[in-house]
Amino acid sequence: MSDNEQTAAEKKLAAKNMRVAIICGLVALAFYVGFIMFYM
Amino acid sequence: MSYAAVHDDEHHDHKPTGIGRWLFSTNHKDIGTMYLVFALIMFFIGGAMAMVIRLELFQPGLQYVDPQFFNSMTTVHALVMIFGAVMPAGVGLANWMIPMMVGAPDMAMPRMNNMSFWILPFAFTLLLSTFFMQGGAPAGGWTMYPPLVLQLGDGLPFLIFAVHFLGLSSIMGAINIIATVFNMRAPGMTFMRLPLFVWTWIITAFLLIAAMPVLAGGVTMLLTDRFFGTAFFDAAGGGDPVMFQHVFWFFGHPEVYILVLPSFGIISQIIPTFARKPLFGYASMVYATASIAFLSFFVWAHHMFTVGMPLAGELFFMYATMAIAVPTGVKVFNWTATMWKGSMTFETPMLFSIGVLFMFTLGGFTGLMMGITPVDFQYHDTYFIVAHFHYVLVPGIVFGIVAGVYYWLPKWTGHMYDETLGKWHFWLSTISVNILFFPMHFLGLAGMPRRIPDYNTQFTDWNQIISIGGLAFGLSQLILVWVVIKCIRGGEKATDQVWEGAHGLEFTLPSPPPFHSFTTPPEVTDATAHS
Repeated sequence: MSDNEQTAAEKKLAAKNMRVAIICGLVALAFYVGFIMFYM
Repeated sequence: MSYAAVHDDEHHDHKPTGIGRWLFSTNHKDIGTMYLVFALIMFFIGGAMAMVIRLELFQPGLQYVDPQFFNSMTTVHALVMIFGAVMPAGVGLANWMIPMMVGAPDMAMPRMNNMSFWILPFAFTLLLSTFFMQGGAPAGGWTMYPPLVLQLGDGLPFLIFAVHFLGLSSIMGAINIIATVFNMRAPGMTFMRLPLFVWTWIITAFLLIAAMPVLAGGVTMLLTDRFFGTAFFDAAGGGDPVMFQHVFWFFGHPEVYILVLPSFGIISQIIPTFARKPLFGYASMVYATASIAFLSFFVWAHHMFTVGMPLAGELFFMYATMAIAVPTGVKVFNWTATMWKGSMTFETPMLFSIGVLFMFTLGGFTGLMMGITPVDFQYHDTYFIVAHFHYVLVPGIVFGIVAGVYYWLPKWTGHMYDETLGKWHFWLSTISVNILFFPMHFLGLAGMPRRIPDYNTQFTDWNQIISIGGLAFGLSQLILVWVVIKCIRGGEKATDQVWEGAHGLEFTLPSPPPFHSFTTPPEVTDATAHS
């Protein structure tokens, strides 16, 4: 099934999931880089 | 709903076959199974290393292995058990149960779920391959303190990249759990109706996202110190080796709760089932779990009281450590109150849960003792510490995971396990684990140092008893393997509810559940929710 066969609700949910993943991923990345920068 | 989940749902009866089912799986149940099998294999690999340690310590003097290899055994045993056995086992249970508990068809990001798992075998191949390298496997302790760890031979970058990959896997798994619980709950499944197991995992997931990057940052700095001329932890270059200890334990103490909270969640599911009463103080359990997680970021230096800290620092970390006993006490009280006047029965999951309640509390109490700064100066780096954290990790956490396996095994396989063998497993494990770890308190108080392959002859008797306990505990775990295999192959048919007192969405599904559960979201009411 291609992306354009997803219903509007499914696309909305996928976008919400992706948003959570990006936010959490950025927080983790910020902690990682931040800790190293803090000690430099 | 993610693309992969939608895709799978449309082929309801189609279950992939062959090796492809496992390699390319996006199904939360299959991935959960792979995590659990992986954890079991690592549990036995780590256990074999523990047996080498106990064999060497059976008598004073150096008998079987050289000290460097002994140190590798203690170091890699810890890394394998923490990152290879306990954490993946917890994630395996989360994968299996969270979608079913919240009424979702699968995890939010099934492909990322697949990647999270398959990173693990690669990471452990990197780690275990160091045994065959010049300089041997890591031997400076699982805490990887510099400057000692920087003296490791060719294995150092492998160790560091293995830790990075393990962190990446954990963070991806955590993101998936957060997205699943936040976005894919069934209608009516409000946060305060979530099963406690789900709550403990949300909190654990946030801990993982906050703590794992700190460890990754610390070991990256070790890597650059060794290979790129930096001096983060090198006093000769203006760095500070003690700073690594601060960085490590800022990760390391939340890590303790990353390991233990899912176990708390499991027994919070099991005790109400077999006491046939709702969990006492649901809301206070949620707030206590969150409080433990929050406080875990403010106590790290109690692991390093002896490095020399200002008095104000020692007092702060001592009192902060004491403070964690309050929410932990709330949880212990609530589990006990749940059992109070309950119509209790003692099937294997309940026995293991009561084992957790008693023996985790014992490990918690010795933790309080060590949190008292002046007292810790005597205990530090002795077998008392080894006794403490093994009581927390083995009867506190491993028993909780085993309780969960027994509790949900009939749901997973559709068959009841052999209750008689389960009870044998519990009693042999409980007796042997106490023979294994309790005398370590005595040795520690008498001054036996940890991580040393030889010891004064006055410690011989207890060490021999401990080694016998260790062998008995290891052999007892073979019963679990047999029970699981036997249960998969057949047995009495399990009902959908499995246990008379069980509640929750997972018990509304057939046993075993269909390959894709809850393709139509269920409606959750107070009657079907745990709380």
